[in-house]
Amino acid sequence: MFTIALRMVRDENETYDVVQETFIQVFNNLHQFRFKSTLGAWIKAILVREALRKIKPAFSDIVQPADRLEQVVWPDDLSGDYLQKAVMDLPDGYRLVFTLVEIEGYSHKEVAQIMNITEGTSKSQLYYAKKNLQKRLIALANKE
Amino acid sequence: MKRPGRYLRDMKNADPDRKRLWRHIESGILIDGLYSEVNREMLDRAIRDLPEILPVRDLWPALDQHIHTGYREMRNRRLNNYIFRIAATIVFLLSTYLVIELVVLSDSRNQQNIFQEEHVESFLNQVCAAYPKKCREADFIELKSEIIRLNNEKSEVESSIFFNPADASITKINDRINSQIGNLKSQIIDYVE
Repeated sequence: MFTIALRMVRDENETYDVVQETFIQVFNNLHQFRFKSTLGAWIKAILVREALRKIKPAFSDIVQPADRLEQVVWPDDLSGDYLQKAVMDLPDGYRLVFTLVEIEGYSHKEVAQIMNITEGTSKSQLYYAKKNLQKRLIALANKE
Repeated sequence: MKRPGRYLRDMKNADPDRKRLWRHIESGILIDGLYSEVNREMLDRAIRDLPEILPVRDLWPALDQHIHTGYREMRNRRLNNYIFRIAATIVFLLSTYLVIELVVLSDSRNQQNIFQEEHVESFLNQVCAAYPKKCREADFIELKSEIIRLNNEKSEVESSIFFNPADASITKINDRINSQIGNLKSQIIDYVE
């Protein structure tokens, strides 16, 4: 839970607040849990909502009117640590959508509902997040 | 209402091609088919290998304190509500009882007074009707005024009994006045006969 919150919020102190507030909400609203999902998924949904309340990301869709968008090429030596560093450097909107869709397995429809955006916006954010990550991963590899 | 970003909103008012593009982006169709990923399996593996970040600070003490404070507050609130309800019920019952007592007993007291007054008055009327000459004599008038005075005194004492039913001294005074009224009635009858 702490890891998910940190990936979303990025600031460590605010992450503590988010996790604490989440578990307080869980304690106060436990009677509202209807067993429609697992307890973990329910707590995670509360955590994501709390994290979003903290950061309130701004989205800008800059989709080029092209026939095809550029390919996303992932490096052969991509490791978890590298990815983690690159993800944490992403702007809020990209980082949130990438974290929720690719790491936490939410669908674009769910992300759209949670973040109050359209599915198209969620998809375009994910594309630009990936392109951004690609650049950052190359930069990280060159530094090493 | 879900809103796309500023750039896309501007595109809604643009030329037909851009409008079509905006609709595709809105539905997600355009993004879905417009790019591909090379080495996607490397991303999936890296996601599986993402390091878990554990909190350095222990979160439990703050949570525990908050939960217990919240629980105590909730319990106190419930207890206060419970006590308040009981107190309100008691106050309601007491006030209802007092209102009933005041209405019913004051009514019965009034009736009793009227009866008492009527009783003494009718007694005197009966005596005067039977012995009209005696009624005009000074001694009879004196006895009559004395019995009326005692009767008025009795009304006051009875109202005191109503407000202090447990006061034994008032009850004694009332009994004494009753016996004095009884004596006066006997004296009046003796006098006229």
